[in-house]
Amino acid sequence: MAALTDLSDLINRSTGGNSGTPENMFMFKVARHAGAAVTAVPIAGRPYSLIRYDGNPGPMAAPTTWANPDNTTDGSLKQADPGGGREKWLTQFQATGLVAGTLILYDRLGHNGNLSGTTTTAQTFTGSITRYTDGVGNMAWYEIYGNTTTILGTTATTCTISYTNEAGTSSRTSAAIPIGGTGFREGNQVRFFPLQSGDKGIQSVENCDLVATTGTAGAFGITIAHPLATCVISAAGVGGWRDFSTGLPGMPEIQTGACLSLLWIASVTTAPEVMGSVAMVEA
Amino acid sequence: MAAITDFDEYVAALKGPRELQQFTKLALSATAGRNYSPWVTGTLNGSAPTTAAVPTNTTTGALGQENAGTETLYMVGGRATTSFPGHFTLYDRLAHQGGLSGTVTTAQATNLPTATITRGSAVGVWAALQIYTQIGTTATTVSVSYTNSAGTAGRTSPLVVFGATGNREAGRVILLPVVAGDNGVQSVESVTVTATTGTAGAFGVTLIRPLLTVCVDTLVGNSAFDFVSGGACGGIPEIPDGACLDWIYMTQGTTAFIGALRFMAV
Repeated sequence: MAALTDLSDLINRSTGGNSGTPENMFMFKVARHAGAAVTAVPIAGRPYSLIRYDGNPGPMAAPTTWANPDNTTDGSLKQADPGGGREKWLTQFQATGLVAGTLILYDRLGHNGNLSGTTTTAQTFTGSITRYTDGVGNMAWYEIYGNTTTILGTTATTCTISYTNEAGTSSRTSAAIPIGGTGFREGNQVRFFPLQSGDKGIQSVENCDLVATTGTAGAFGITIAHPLATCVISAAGVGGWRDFSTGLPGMPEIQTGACLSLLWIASVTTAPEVMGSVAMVEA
Repeated sequence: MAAITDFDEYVAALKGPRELQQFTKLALSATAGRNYSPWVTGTLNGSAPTTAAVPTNTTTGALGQENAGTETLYMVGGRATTSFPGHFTLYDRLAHQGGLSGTVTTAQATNLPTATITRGSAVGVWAALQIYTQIGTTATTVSVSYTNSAGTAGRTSPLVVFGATGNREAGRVILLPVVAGDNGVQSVESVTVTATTGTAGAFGVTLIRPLLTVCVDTLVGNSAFDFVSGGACGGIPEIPDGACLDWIYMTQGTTAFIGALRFMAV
């Protein structure tokens, strides 16, 4: 792993010296899906995906079979890969928005869609990843796709995933979490799967199993992700910013091919609109 | 592109910048969490454009920094005072035009397409509608036909809300999303308002390249910022020769914005 030597080195590379290749990427998201108003609002304190929100860059299409998204995937920031054997580092992350909340910048490692909210046997797939393959720190969640037409049913039930942990042990079973019913059925809703006791990461997911039908098939999928940074927007119109040269957790590496995407942790039940940027440098 | 050598050179530029550019933008009526531009507001304000044009650093209303010539120009820090805490994005106004109506529901191509951008590629360029004279109280939607950064014409932006409170006021900047697969706008060819807003007003298209952001978190305080000790984000971006620098505000309410930027050239 290469390192930034010191603050002078960071300043030098951030202005193009020593092959720093600085990349400063701005993005915005509006509360629309393919030009239609977002119908599903977030729930305070719950995660919510912005990858299918309209904006610049444009949105991602809902996935079908398991795939490993990268920095060419629509909906992601599409940063350039580092060159010359260098590594890429996140130096700054800032955002503001229409309402208060927290943004999580993450690397989207794998995902699928087309899972059904009515199937009560294990829905199997080969959910492998190509970055952070040791699994440490990786998270899994279910993500509901669609805006109005593919949401899940109104019957609350629970689901689990079967996964392989960071030690390579397969057939680990997550804790059961709610799915279906109000707050757990609408588009963009994301719910994290707690890991089995003793685990601290995920190498792959093998299936998702609903205890009972939600009443509507809808469309949802499983995502494996590696969180990178958070940015708090404390109130409408107030900027949150992170400068990783002056604050913990140090500078996150942006791995080659990273699919940089955003999750929203809502403070209020209003569909968010955000604008912000990330700054990166190579070393 | 020349680089800043080290921390000492950066600090020296903060202490003794090549150029200290003052700016004073008078109170701009704003709704919390929405984007606004002071382009036509306050001291040394610009004017609403008509025909398609490429504004520069010599255009009235621009910040007016000097060109670096054979050197490379950076904004290294500054200070600002506001009426409300907020998030202020310094952008290069690459192209603009005006003369569009909030009541016309056919494709408007008056003063379009936008002028060919002259500073950098179209990757990362945002298209926005900028309202110069208040439009109507009826909420509708709007889209544009644009050419993406790869040169593909005939792209139609997803609809966004246009008109009614929060989306009609003079100064309001409405960012236009792009379709899946796109990440920049080269030009805009026409604008289509879905239904009348009820008042013609006046608005136009602006092509924007965001450069950096200043977060002012103190109320009527004097907030200093730079890229090392904090408050400014965007890496340490190069300011290209000719850049027409203006601000996009996103604040908690009606606010003035007064301050100064420090530039260095290497």
